Amino acid sequence: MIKIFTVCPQGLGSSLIAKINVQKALEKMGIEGEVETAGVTSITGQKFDLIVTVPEMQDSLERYKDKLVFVTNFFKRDEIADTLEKKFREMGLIE
Amino acid sequence: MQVILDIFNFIGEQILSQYSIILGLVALVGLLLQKKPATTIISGVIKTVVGVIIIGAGAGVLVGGIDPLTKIINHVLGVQGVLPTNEAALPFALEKFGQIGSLVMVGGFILNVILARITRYKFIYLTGHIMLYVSLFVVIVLNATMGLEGWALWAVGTVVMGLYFTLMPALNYPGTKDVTGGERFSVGHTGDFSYWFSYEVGKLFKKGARSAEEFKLPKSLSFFRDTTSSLALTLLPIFLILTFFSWNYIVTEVSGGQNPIMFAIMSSLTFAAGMAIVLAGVRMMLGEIIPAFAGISEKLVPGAVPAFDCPVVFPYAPTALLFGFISMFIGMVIATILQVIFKVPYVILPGIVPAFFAGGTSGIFGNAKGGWKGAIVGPFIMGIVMQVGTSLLIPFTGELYDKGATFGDPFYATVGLAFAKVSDLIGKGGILGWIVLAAVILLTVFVFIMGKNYRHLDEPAAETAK
Repeated sequence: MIKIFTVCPQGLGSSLIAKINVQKALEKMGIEGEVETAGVTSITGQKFDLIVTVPEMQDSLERYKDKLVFVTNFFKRDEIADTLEKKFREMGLIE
Repeated sequence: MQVILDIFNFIGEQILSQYSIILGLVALVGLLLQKKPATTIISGVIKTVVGVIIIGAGAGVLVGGIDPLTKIINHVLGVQGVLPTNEAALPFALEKFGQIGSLVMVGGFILNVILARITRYKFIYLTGHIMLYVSLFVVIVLNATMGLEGWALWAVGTVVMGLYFTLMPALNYPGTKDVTGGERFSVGHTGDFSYWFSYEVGKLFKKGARSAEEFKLPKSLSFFRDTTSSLALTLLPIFLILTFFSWNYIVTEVSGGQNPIMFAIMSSLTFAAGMAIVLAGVRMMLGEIIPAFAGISEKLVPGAVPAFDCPVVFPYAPTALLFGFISMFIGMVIATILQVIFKVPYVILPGIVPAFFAGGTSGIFGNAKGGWKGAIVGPFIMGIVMQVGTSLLIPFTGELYDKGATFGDPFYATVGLAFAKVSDLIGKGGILGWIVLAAVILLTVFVFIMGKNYRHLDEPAAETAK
């Protein structure tokens, strides 16, 4: 069970689109996981394994740098799937 | 027989009068249609209902920040000060219109799917919080101006929202394509009118335009994307300036003896806390509903163009974003000062949240054709327009008018204001009312007939054909 947060400025709109795409990617790879959305403020104090976000948010999320996964845009489904697959391989979750 | 009637009454008067339950049912249907496992369904429904309750709880905290501010403004300036911030207006709007507003949001989405299927405007609006805010706004205005209630209010609201969800993304699709270099999505956000305006104004600077992206701006400015801190930091100076003009009044009437400076600091932070609570509630409430909407529309309208929240265009021009943000904010401040000088009945305070999201995105659209000049001029003008338009809009917002907070984004101050005026004229009836109603219907039909010429959707296909 892996816990992933998608983070955008307010945690309302674009992170929700990212959440849909991350969930789809997880289902496809057969990985059990929980995906939630957060804003730069509300991520504080949360427990998670990974954050999926865009590069401009890097400064605001510096303190989690080992857990950050960057995609160029929240709506790019294929890119999100590829990036996550690579990351999971690194983590040894999939072969 | 009596038992069955009792059950119906219970469903109608008890369950369905709780808008949190209605939204929970929407999530339930969405999750069932997606064939999610039972545990996901149960937790999804509970989270949705709890999210709505959290928003209501945020209202109490927000009031702790807004109430003293509006009291002090009223005392010092003799006018009503209003904060144009959607999340601050939301709990008050939900309190009275949550039930019908959430049903209108669902109805509007269904109509959006139908229109996307049968007309040339193939857009599906997927920005959940904006869907809810505009639905509530439309319901409030229709109720205040035309006196509509119950099913009539739902039906008219649904038609208006279906049109909004379908047409506003169409308006901004050409601009979005220019910004993104041809990506197949549009922007669905209440800065919409301002994006279109800034894009069109940007075209005026066409020749030799230097892109805003060639400038270097301090990175620290992007700190403003954190709405909780930026709200507290912009409210504080307003509070402090007013404090020095009403020191004694604050001590005796507002703060209950607390030092006014400390009181100003705490009130600003209390407001930010209220915002954080509301945002957490909205996030929880929509976390299941919007994925369900997305899944349903994907199945029913294959090949539709989705409309996403404005931050999806931020990566394409991050510097133009800051240009637009700053110039819209300056426009707002100038307009607010003028409103104070001319003593208009409702002074709209500069709204940092709309300035960042709507102003910043407008900067990106202006930059696409007009370079850095385009990134500044459109958002600056819209900053002024927003303050003037929002001030004129207040009398039409019924229940919201005295809450000290209202819906704040360029859409409400422009198209929203026009909608309020039109529905007010129709509501007054008489020959003029009928003429206006006929004109609106004709215009709508005309827009859909013109849809035959809406070529932006065909471009990729045409290019491959070449």
